[in-house]
Amino acid sequence: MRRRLIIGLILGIGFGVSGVSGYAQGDEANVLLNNLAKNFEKLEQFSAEAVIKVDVDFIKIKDRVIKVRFEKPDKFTFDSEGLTLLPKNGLQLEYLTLISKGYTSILAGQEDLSGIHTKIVKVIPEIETEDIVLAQLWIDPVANRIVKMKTYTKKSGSYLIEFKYTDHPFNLPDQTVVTFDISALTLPAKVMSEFQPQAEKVKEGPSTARVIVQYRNYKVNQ
Amino acid sequence: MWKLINIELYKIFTKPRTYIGFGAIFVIITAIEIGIKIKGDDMFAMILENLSDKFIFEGKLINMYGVGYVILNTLWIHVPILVALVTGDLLAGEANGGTFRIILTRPVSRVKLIISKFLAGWVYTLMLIIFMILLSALWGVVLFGPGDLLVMTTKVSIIGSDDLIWRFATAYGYGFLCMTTVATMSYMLSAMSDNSIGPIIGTIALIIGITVVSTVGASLLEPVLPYFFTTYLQSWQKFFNTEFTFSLVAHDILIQLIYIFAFFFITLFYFRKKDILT
Repeated sequence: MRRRLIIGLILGIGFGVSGVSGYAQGDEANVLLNNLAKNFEKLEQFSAEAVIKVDVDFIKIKDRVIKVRFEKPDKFTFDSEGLTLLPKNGLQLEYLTLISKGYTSILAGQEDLSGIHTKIVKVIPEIETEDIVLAQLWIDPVANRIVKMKTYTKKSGSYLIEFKYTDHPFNLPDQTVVTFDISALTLPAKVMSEFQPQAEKVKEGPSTARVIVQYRNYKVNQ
Repeated sequence: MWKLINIELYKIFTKPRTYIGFGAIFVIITAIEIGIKIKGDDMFAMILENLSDKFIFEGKLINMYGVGYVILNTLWIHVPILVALVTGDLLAGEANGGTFRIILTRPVSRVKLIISKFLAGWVYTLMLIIFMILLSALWGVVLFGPGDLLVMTTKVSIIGSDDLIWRFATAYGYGFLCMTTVATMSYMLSAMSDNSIGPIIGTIALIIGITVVSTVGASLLEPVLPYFFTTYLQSWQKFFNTEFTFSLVAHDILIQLIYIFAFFFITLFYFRKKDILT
């Protein structure tokens, strides 16, 4: 009887501690995300010029300059003089959309990235209609900004987005590097030229695409 | 010589069949331009379906250059037929009409006659291409306006609108060279025939036949494929290569020139010795 009581006590303490710890982790993650959201509370709109560099082996395109406009809560518009290729994810501050709607978050560790101490937070959106099913954020808790983000989407696979900052207000990024997998991508070879949709696998070169976006001339709330 | 060319040009442009080519090009280009204006979005969506999973295309995808590129692709199928329709009739038509005897009793050498008829046919070919360019550009400006060109082969290239005029000009120039080869071939067949149906059908059959056989039996014919001029009919696309250098097309141009000179000199040689029986 006494032995059973001791085991029960140990188990109870164990579950209790892990529960409290889990709650604390979730709570810390929420605090980090709330601080992040606070950053953008006063951000009504912004516009900027973005230099787009597409680094994909089979895509030949010169660097393009486009105009980016953001309006609260999450409306992004892109204006391009010529034809520009943009990654489907990674340019629209997706984390803002994520944290402005319902989500569940977990603190999943910490990591030093280029000398910046970051905390890793996993975010699961509660709305099923969202394309992003899971996001992992590397948050700099001192500067309250995201250093890196990995999103897993329903339609277009996963995207890794790295942010670089200087001193823009509202912690808007100076540079965004979006990396994503294109190994499953097929090109309808010569469709334009011959109207023969002979899907040809892209065999050569790396299977990842990189799009580097350099922002300049930010105009915030003007 | 100049007078001879003028006479031949007069003969060409007083025949109704000459205008079939211009009419056909007008109908085809107009249909393509209006078709793309109405259904272009669906067409491009289908072409880009795969890329659209990963990328967003920002900007004017359907524009005069894109449509011009589509027209370039489709019309090189029809233009050889339209060229042969006139050049295949240049010598055979005279034989068929029984006018050679009268012409050749005049103080005009057979060599001069062959050269002048060939040059007149060449001018017709040039006019057909110029008409195609002008019509394509006119419809393009009216319906779409300028923009960057998206070229999809095994790679995807996006070429800025400021870098396109010379590419289209050289592509059409190369196309004209290819059509000169076709014109010379049908001219040669025309010299060998007394009825213009033969050279016209013969030219079309040869081009389509060689192209089909080359495509279907590519592995079988691989060793000889580099020697067919039809292999290089699509080489105008190389002018839209973002890393274009002249060396990319030098060999193709050389092959076309060799064929032009070969066909022309066979015609000359054959016609000089030909018995005029009609």
